[in-house]
Amino acid sequence: MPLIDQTKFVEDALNDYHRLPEEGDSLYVRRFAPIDISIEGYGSAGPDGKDEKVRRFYDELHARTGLKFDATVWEDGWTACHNPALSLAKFGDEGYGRALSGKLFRSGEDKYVALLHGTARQALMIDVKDGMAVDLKVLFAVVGGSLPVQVFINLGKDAKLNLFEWHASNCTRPCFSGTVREVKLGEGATCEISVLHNENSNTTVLEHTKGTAGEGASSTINFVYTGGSAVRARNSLEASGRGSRVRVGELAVSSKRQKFDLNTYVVNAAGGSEVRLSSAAVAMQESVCYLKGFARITNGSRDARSFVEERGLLVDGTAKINSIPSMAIGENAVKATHSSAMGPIDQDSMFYLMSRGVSPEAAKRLMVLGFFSGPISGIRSSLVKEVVSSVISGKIRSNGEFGELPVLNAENVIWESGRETGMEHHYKYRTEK
Amino acid sequence: MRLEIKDLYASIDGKAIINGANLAMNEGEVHVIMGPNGSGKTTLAKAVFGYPGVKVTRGDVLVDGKSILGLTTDKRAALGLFLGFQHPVEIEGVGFVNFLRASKEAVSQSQANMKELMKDIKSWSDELKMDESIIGRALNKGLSGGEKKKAEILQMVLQRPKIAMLDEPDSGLDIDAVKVVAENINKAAEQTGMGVLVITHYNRILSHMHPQRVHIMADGRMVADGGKELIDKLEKEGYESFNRR
Ligand SMILES: Nc1ncnc2c1ncn2[C@@H]1O[C@H](COP(=O)(O)OP(=O)(O)OP(=O)(O)O)[C@@H](O)[C@H]1O
Ligand SMILES: [Mg+2]
Repeated sequence: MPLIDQTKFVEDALNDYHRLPEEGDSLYVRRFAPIDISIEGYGSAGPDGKDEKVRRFYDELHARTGLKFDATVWEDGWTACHNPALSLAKFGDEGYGRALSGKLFRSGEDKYVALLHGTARQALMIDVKDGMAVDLKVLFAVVGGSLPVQVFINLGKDAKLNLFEWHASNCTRPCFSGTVREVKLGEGATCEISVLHNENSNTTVLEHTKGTAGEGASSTINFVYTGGSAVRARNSLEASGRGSRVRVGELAVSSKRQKFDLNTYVVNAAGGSEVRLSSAAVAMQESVCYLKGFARITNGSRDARSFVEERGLLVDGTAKINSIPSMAIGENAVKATHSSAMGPIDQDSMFYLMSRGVSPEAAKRLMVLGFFSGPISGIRSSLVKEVVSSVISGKIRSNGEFGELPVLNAENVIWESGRETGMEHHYKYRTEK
Repeated sequence: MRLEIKDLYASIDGKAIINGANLAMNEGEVHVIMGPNGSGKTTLAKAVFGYPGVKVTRGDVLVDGKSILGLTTDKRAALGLFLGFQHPVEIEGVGFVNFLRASKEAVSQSQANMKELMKDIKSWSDELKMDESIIGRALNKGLSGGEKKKAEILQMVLQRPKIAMLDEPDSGLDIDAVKVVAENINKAAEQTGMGVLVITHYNRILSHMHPQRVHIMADGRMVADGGKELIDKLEKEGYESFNRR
């Protein structure tokens, strides 16, 4: 028995996950050649023996990182610890998705979201009851074929959630790793969700998150994009309740002709709400990264605060980062800033580091990690900090390789949160070993 | 180690800045370069270290008789050369300790012992009368001019080079700090036997040091080489007397 009425869900999705408004505007169309992902050849069913593959995959990840996940989700199954906040809904009818997807693709709506809804056969539910606090780590493993999955996150009044999602793929044929995620925070709820995409080059990443935050709620979502031949992200997050706070961090490292199309829409929809979007991208080796942050303050959101910051660092002359600042403000009594800064690696910094014997590769790595130090310091979970800096430094160290399962080695650095230590960009050393 | 700058010509953006500079020094020696603003002292140091914006058009830079012009900057440092910057670069988010560790590992070609490194950093920063909090900060970020200069010396002593070129290690330092910096340069030189090439405009730092050779630079070349007596002459007569030579 499916726990979710999927017909209704997909119909709702058609209304909710429409194209983001700015995708239609002419400036956007001119500047952002859409990353068109062929849907042919992305069959969702992979070969048999996936359970065994997942187990080996998990074991290897565990051996390298020491991480233990509370749940592992793959194309047609999952394993999980017995956390009452966590459950998986399976959709019964196998042919259902495909039949529906034909209809959806003609609808003129976001066909990638439609693809995900049309092909997803399971949904992960995270339900944190009023006043409860839950800490979860979930592995999404793409091992045989495409993994479309719906994730529903629901936090009750004053509930707390700390969630880390690792999306990985070692799939040997073209596939996608797709997530449609809905995050709803009740009054006074708090969450920090960190989503790491570290898929291999056979994989296209589709990331779609919609979130709302109730009165006084505080939501932090960090997206880290390092893997996948192409990434298409359409995220839309709203500070819906009075005095709610939404923080979105985007960290992207693109290399080896990867194409990242990252589109985030943040909305202040209530008085006294605060929205903070900070995107940081590093690009190299003929990769392309579109950073598109769009902020909107609705009419009536008095004393709303909206901050959008986009930063880009070009490691070599062959990569491209594209960003357009946009903001739509429908209210007078607000505070809003939008900044965008892109540039190449500073030659004098490079010379300075190299004059101390540091190789050009290590110097670049230091500077890339330095570039991300602000956003990484902003992550509260020290585990996530370590994982994220390891994956990023591993990608630079291996000259742009991605999708490999990394060894956790944040160069022995543990990032301390600015809030915890009162010092920005401060890190402490583990001297044992 | 022996460092030789031989009839060196170098340009920036096609503009000739170094016009036949010559200098030779050995490990264990203390040399001084003095010269008016814009005479090319910093550019010469950058040329020795292979700064991409400075193009060597003629001449050579040799270490122990072998040209280093074909080496990248990091490889030159690995030979045992150190450059203390006139204007140390501020680098966003790169932690001071993380950087010291990377540079130490690069030059020694082995994994750094963090405990020992932290101990060295602590004791030398005490010697240099540096505020310990800079250790937790990003590289040179938000340091005062004088603090930056001290941080350069700290890096030098930790790296244990064979020859250190220090580009105005005294500029921006207060009177006491000049003495502290000079004493620490001397101490490091005593301990490691390194050679020091100091670029400076001022007598004060030299009164705490014992230079064997003084080179006066103007218009991108040496216009006088000699002993300490050149410093006195300079003090009395200024650069004019050398130019007219
Ligand atoms: N990037 C540059 N582009 C053009 N000219 C430059 C550049 N850098 C230096 N120069 C010129 O090269 C000349 C030498 O400069 P340099 O910095 O080597 O002088 P210096 O002897 O170190 O002076 P100071 O004592 O003021 O530090 C100056 O005329 C300067 O203007
Ligand atoms: Mg100078």
